[in-house]
Amino acid sequence: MPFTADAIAAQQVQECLKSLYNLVQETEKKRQQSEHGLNAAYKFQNSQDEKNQHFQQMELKNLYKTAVAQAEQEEEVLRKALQKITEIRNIKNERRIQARHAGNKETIRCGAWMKMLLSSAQTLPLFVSKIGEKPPPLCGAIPAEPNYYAKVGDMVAALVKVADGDGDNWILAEVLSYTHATNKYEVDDILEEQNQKKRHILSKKYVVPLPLMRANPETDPSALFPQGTVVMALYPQTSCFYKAIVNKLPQTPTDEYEVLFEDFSYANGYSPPLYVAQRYVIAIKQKTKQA
Amino acid sequence: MNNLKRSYSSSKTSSGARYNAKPTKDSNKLPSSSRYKNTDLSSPESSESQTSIFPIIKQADNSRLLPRYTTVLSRSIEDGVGMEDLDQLQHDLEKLLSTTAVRNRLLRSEIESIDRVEERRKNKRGRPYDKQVPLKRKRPDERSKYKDSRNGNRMIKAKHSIPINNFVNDVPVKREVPKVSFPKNDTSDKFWLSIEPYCTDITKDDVAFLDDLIQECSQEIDVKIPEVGEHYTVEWSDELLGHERGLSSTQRVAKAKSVNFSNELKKNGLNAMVDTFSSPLTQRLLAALIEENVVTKMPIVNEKLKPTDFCLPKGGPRNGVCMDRRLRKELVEQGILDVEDLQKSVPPDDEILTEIKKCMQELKAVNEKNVSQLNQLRTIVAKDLRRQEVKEALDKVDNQIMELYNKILVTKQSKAPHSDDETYEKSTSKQNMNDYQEEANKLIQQQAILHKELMELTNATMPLL
Repeated sequence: MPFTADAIAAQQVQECLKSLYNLVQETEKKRQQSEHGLNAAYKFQNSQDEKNQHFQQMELKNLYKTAVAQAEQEEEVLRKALQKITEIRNIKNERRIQARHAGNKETIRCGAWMKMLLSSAQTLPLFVSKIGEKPPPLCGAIPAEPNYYAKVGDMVAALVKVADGDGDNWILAEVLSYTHATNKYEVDDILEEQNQKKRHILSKKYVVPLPLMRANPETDPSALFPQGTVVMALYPQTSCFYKAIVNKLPQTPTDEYEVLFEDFSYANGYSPPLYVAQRYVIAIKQKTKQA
Repeated sequence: MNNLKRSYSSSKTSSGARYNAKPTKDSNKLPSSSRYKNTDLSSPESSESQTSIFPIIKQADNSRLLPRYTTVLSRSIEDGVGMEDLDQLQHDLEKLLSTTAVRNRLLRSEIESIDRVEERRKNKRGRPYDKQVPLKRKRPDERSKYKDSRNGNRMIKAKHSIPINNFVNDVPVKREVPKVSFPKNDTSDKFWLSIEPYCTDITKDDVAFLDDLIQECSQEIDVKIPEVGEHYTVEWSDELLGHERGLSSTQRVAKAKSVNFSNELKKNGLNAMVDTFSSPLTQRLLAALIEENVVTKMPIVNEKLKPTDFCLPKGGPRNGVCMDRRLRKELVEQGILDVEDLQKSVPPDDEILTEIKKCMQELKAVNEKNVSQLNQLRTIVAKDLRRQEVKEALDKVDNQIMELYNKILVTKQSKAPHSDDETYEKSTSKQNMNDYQEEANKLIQQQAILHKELMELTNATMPLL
């Protein structure tokens, strides 16, 4: 077997998949323990009578403690498994970028792109904080650090001049390179046909990196935009970001934001509620528009 | 398919689980959205205290809630996980992780609340006992104790419930009272608990404790400074001597010893011998003599310069000190040294003794101050006790007055309706009224006296405290 980069990557993926399988099996064991632990606690609670409450409470506390320990173990295995999945995705993404460097043109139709956008938003790693942990930058609504710059292949929102001449637009784009010296990004519109004309070279302030992780509403609601926030959101079935107001927050990890887009074609100035994935909802940039 | 989605809206709710139920907006987009096992919606509210239900995805629900996970699980190791499984599997795992994380948090908060209940119980039980412990000067454990004790007995916090009805433009608007339970703010309780020891009434126990303290402190400090013993060099050499004597019971050893000594002298020369004398003065003198060749004849050492020669009682290392003394005496007799010179070196410039004395003096001063302070405190406490008595008496009188007042009111009222009918009753009631008035006057006078006394006592104790 020749040791091409592709082959090595494939092998790595295979290894990851194998350990993922093992982790899934392990998860099941941990889950069983957790369930037993909880059942014991429930049973104990139901059998409780009034006398000697103190002792009973201590006993219950011990059962809870066991349950906590079991939950933590389960958590650990699950985290490992999810980590494996992320690794696989990273490897694949790496390959994709390499392939593009090599000049292999990937021609993807617009519809396929839309599907990919949706699935990549859904499979963005989920951040579930450990107890006491704060969500990191670029998790949900948490902004990037000031000196952060997006990596090659990352998705960004970029403010570009639209060819048709109706001003500027925030488009969904992919980072091709970043030049430290000039603080400038080279980005690619994700819509292939747009790139025929020219690549965009943009200053850092016109580029907003998209979140790298989803925030878990169940454990880290602080990493979500609060209701009523004015944000930039990707209009469904387009590749452009527009101003919108957060109407409802996601309730589960797979939920999306419900937003109202600023749209003057509607009587009240807002679109009906539309759903946008966490990945495509970003803080509004205090922009120097019409610059 | 279950079209109700239940989820924990927030893990921050401290003890009780709160459910949100809302219809799924798009069942296509969210395929497996019935996340937690079905529980009666009303149950979480009612069972908030004891049986809060922790979220778990039961293994029995695997196939329904975690389709891809279940498939992967049932596969053999050869089949393993395929790339096409990743997306769905990720979702399933995330669902599990999130559920587990929430469960972990809820369990922890439940443990915490049990701890809190325990703490409260302990405090309640511990209180009376706590009071009997006499006040120590400083309870070192106090801080931590009060820090820990949440929700002590003293509930200063009034229950300000959030008004449910708010009137906006005269229209009652039922505002949804947020059920978010805030993290318990028990700072005020802690504060009052920490303050309590300073504010409680003085008890007999405290007085007894004070008396004990005063008695203890007013005892004379009787630390005897032992007489200055012999200088350690002397003492040590004595010990050595004793040791030697034990050895030299046999002639042979003694001989060997003296031979040893003279050998040493021979070996190291006279300079070594000079070093064995402790006083620098002697050393100087001897060194001078050696230089002047006054003592040069080494050979005589064997016959003449026996250790016994240096000192009246024979002694090895001890001879240094003896030598000093003898030399001094000799020198004074010869008139080389003045008696004054000698005395100058003799005076007991004992640093340790002076230090001890100084310390004793300081200790005495501090003790005196303590005793006087304690006595002062004792008188104040006595006054305060008296004040408490007066206050009690005053309270009693106050109550009596209130009772009397009520009685008067009752009689007045009962008099009114049938005033004309029965003259007899009228007269008795009048009689009663007079009695009451007299009594009232008496009580009020008493009250005034007591009040005055109380004010005086309070003024007497407070400014000093």
